[in-house]
Amino acid sequence: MELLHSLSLGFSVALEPMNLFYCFIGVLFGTLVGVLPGLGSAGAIALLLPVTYSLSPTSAIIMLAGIWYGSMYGGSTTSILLRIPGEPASVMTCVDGFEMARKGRAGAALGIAAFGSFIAGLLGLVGLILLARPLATFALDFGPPEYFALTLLGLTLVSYLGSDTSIAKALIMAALGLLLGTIGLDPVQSAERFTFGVLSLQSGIDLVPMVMGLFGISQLLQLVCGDEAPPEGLEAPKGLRALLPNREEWRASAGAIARGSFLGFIVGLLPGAGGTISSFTAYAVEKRISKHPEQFGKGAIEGVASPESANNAATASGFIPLLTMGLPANAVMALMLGAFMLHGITPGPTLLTQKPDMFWGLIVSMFVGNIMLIILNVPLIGLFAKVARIKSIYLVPLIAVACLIGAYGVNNNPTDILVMLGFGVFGFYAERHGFSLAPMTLAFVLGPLMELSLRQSLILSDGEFMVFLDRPIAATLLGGTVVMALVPILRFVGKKRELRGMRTVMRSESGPSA
Amino acid sequence: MLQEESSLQEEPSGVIDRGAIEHWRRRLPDLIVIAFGLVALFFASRLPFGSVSQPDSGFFPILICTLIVVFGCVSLATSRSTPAAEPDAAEAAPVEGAGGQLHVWSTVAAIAVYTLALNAVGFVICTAVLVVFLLRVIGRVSWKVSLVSGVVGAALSFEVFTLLGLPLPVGLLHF
Amino acid sequence: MKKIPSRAVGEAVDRGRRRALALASGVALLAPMASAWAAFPEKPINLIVPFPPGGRTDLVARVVAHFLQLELNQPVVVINKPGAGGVLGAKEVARADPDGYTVGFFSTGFLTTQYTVPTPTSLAEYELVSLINYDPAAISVSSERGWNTIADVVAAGRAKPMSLRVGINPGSSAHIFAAAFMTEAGIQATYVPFRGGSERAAAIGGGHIDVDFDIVAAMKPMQDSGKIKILGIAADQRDPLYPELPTMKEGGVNLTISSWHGLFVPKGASPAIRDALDQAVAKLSAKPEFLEQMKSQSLGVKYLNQKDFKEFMASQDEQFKSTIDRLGLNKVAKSQ
Repeated sequence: MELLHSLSLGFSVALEPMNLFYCFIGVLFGTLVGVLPGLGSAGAIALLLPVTYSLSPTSAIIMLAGIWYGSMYGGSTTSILLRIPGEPASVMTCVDGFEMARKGRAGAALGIAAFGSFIAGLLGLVGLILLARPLATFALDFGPPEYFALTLLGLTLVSYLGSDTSIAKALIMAALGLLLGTIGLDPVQSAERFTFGVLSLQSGIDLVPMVMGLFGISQLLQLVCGDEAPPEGLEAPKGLRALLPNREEWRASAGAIARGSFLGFIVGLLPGAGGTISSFTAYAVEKRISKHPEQFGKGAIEGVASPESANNAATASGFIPLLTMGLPANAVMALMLGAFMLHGITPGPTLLTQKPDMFWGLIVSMFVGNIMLIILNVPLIGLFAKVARIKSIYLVPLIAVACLIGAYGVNNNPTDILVMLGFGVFGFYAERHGFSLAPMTLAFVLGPLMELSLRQSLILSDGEFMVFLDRPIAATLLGGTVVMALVPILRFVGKKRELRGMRTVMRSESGPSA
Repeated sequence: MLQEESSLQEEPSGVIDRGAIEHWRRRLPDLIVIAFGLVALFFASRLPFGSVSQPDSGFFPILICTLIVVFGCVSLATSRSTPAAEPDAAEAAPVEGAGGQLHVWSTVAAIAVYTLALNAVGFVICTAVLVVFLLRVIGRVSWKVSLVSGVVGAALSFEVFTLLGLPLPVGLLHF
Repeated sequence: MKKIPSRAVGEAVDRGRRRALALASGVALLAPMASAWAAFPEKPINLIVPFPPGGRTDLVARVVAHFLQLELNQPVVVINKPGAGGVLGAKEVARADPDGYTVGFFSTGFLTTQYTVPTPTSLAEYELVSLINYDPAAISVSSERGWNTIADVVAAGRAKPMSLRVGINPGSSAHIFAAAFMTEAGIQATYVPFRGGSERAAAIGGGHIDVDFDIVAAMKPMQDSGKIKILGIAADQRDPLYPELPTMKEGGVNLTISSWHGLFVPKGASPAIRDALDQAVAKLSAKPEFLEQMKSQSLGVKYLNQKDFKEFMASQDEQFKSTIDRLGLNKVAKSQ
């Protein structure tokens, strides 16, 4: 009853014409920011923050939140069409999304990304409404040992992604990613590491030029190299209905969307983890439990559905630590915190009692915003799907220009383009030799958190590694890591034994003639 | 390591056959990784390690560099059996198209030149030239189509992104 | 009109922001007022905060920026440049053009990192504009420990050396506060490094560390949720903003130390520019709306003009340097 009352209060606030208007502006801007490379949601929010001074606090927060979850919708578009991650959280969407587009199912990929995001967004909001209070302190249960165990589990899961070719190679890429993450000033002692006296390296390597190079530029080089046969001779699907995911694709994605939403919701609760990590882990889990893991990376629709659902569910749950404890879960949430403060409101346990109209208005506005987004996005699918149908050679300049603007836009600095180019060349050759790029990207994102939490844990425990096993959450996560690590190794050993057997047979068969 | 030795013994001495080249070609990436790991380890080891109870700034990098070397060795040792077995192993270099490496490196060079010229020449001209290059030289598209796409595309993206608040360099010619 | 400034600060988003702001300011922000300094500012000003958004410096900076742009008739854009205890952002200000359009919003950590990090800043690279905020350091403890007074903490810490786990941002003011308290109280503690105040707040809220030092404003949400207790402030007398909090002296630890925030411009900025900024800060610091907003967030207002700020900084510099030397945290001296 109390909940119904709260919701009706929320609706009365969210449906005020002004709030509806700003919600729409927010999601529209968010979609744009997500679709266009070089404009990030954090940048967009920072850009509009001062503009909100003149608005009522509720309208301001509703609009800024709209940009945030709107960008998560839009981020998948360039990933699917051009293999350029519009947002770091849609790196995993590149992998299968682009393959689907090459096979003529761009519409289905875009569609499942939009509907998956929509469903996950709604599920996340339901979770937010029902669980905000019980889960308020969940993030606080995670201390340094828990964070270390979590990052280890995440990396192990994602390293399995590369196990089609070689687990060792996936692990190499993960380790390289961790090493790249240490470039710059040490987070604890502020000592310079691997900067070789270069001033711009002090702040470390930027994620955006890195992923654009690894995925976008390397794809471009593959195209000019002529590695891939262009997707010609594909029948153009007639009408929007034929473009969208078909019954079979829906059936394949339903589970992935549900699991992605759940995982995204949980991971999104943790400050410092957020959308990027949730989308990686959701993808890895989906591949792990799939009946046909070999399809992943070659255009499996689950590979688009799960990360896209995860990052949208994480968007919703990321509000819980902010609204209930005043803890920002990531840079965007920190800006939101700034927005609250500017309007004289301190998010925290008192927000719900002191400003219920704002709290519930914001949550209901996210429902409304999600509906606006799906209405906004579905017609765009038809338009975007046409991009996927152009010949490879026209795709080349498109990818080039998008990447160039994207990398340049980070700091207005041409040096970032060179960084991107370097990663592009690296990514191109690495992929050809069976090194997958996803573990490297995640490791780069997780590295600083992993190092800091490891060092904090060891300081806290005075060098005792038992600190990771004494605590229930950390121990559970580590247990999961061990299981995840062992299964592929066992499978690999088994396969090897099988192969050896096969080879002996082959040798004995072909031996005399050779 | 044992595998290494045995494979070396298999090769007839003095004769470098296709198999040996292929053998080393496939191992080259792993060897590069190991070499890289060792170099990085050298630089990492110059950072203070601290102790296990008070880890310093070198602690994590040293750990990671060691892992890179270890994983590189594991990959080297196990790579032998994998490629033939996996039906679609990416180890076997994909068939290259007409352009191949020449196209790859000329594209890389073009983007590098683009970057260096960007601030002086400006976004529109640089981008138009790059697009024409990619379409005409790499893609063998007709001059007409290349030129039109280059100029229209560059001008359009300049307008759209500047409008959205991303200031692209205008160069000395002011556009 | 080549519009690419060579300044390191000219970030894309920033300029985008400026552009959007220029539009926005025309509509919403312009309060018509005659300005005595017609030449400056004629375009948006970047206010560099060398810490991540959401922290205490960011918090104060955003409030100040909001009121400052009303005074200056130009947008004031807060830009977060976190890293290395504030050194990265501070260095960026030092490298910027001294044209007044890049202003640093620095905290006490700006002084301490002169001595506590291997790649330090130097006060000599800046011109001082004005001081705007001043808060005493406060101590908070995890509610799980059951400590209710400063004396409880001291007793627990003395009873078992290294058992108190204290959150710090290495080299920054929180580190100095913590080390100064522990030294004064005769406690050997374990210092756990974090990257920022909000990370420390989460850690103490979850009971992963026992003690934390910050300003009261930054501790409030966690105290409201019952996860932590604020035990006292490091001031000579109780503060009218939160009269219920005892001073550390009352708790038996003789420590007076505080956190402040002020505005800085790169060395070489002309007196006219400095005056223009200083006068704007002086005006806003007297505005009732500003005072009200600062008070509502438990933030203290203290305005010092250029000259007084300089004297204040000199004495603070001396105080912190001697504290840092006494605590054995001076890395710069060691490495030289």
